[in-house]
Amino acid sequence: MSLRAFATKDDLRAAAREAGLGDLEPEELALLKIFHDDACAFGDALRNAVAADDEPATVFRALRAS
Amino acid sequence: VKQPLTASGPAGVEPFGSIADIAERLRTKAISPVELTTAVLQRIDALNPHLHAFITVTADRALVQAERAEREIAAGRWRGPLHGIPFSLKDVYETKGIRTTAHSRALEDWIPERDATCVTRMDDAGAVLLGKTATQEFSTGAVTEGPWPAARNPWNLDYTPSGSSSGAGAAVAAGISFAALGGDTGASIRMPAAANGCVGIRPTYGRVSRHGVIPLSWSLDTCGPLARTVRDCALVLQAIAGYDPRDPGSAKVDVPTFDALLGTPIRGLRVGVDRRNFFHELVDPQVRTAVEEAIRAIERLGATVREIELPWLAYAHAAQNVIHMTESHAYHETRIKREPYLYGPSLRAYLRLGAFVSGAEYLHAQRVRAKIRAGMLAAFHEVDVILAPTGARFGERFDEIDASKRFSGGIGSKGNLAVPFSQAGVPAISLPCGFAAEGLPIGLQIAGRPFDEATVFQVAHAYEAATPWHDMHPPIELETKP
Repeated sequence: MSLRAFATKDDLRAAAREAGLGDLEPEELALLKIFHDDACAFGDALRNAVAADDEPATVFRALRAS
Repeated sequence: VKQPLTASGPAGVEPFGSIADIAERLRTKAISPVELTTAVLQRIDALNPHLHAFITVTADRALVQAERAEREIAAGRWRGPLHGIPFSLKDVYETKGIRTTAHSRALEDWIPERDATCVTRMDDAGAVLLGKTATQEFSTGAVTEGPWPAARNPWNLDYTPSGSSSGAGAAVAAGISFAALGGDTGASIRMPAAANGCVGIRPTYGRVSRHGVIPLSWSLDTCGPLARTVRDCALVLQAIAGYDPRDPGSAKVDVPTFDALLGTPIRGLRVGVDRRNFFHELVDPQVRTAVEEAIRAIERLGATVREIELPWLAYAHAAQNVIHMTESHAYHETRIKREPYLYGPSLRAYLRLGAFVSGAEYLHAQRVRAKIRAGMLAAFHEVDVILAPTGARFGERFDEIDASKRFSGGIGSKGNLAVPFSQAGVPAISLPCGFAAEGLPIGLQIAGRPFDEATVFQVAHAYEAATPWHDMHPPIELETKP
């Protein structure tokens, strides 16, 4: 699983089932699809951000801080 | 329901009085804790059916605690400024023997067997628990999807009190609780403080124990107070702050006297303003105007204002949301898979969303967060505090709530201006700085260095003392009984 866009609701439905979330009702799937589509932009933004970070040790500091 | 609302109460009890003033009257026996608590309980009876600020009112327990306080004060054993002061808890704090619901069907009948550390500390300070206040479901669902009515904004019942410490903000502003303990993961103390025209501080991460508080996102969660004045917030934080080995995030640092600098001039203090990141296109013009005027007022008090630009904040909401949704999913994983029907629709979708985050994406988010924190700590070498609006907007009507817009205009969007300070783990306070034409309060946010709440309180108090906003209260008429 990752925050990458699914082409269709059926793809999302299948992924949700695979993630152990069960069979979602149509209205549940619709709202999850909206959230997931929005969240994919966060995944992309974070990938771009870490690509711009020239200090790989940051991740160790992050783990220690969290 | 038409406003103004009407409440009744005995003579001699000022519902909007400050803790600092009332404490002196209690100490000198000018008023008794039982009289005070009785008055507030009567006011809750009158107002709560309209405000829905409380889910559970613990009237009997409150009166027992008030009687105890009365006996102790009469015997010369005054414990301090919270002794006999009525307060409330967001309904995510565990209370032994008292239902703790997180405003969710999932915990509808749960009665904990222990008190949260903060509850014990307030009890030790002699404070009187009035009850448990409404929240968003598990501190993050839609305000309208829990099994109890959503709290309403006392300034205008058609508006939400924001969240997630929604009942806390409404209760404090309406004069039915002198202080409230809330929780702040992204903005959940500061936004309701702003929306209700009161004061709320997110302390430094680790300053206040979260032991016995239902988690939302472990690496972001904080507990803190809402009250009607800056000094009152400082007094309550004093009671609950300090190391607790039962919270793995608790910091072993000294607890200073938080009100020590109140009244000390702020001349010469350096104030940072980041207009690129905090005054962007989503910020309502009325919010912008009010906060810019607040900045000028603080400058007139002698502070030096300088422009700053904090790095990495373009990614703050991405990092916040990914950390938040992943950690929330982890906490709720078993129940969301087995009993999803126990959650409201939008929280159900949100908790499921966390299942889609990869390990790498979660680490990316924590890594970006570390950059945000490092950038902010560097800025604090140049300035003593940072000023910003608390939120981009000043209010949300109930009939405009659209849970599907969580990330595109809602609490997960970059209109949530509290998030960067949450990411950095630094203390940040919200206090009133004006009103929109609609009659709703606007909040000013002041952030400071880690564990330097005292300077945050100093600047906030100086601004508060120079402006009239804290003396303005919601349209509630008091019918005084002889």
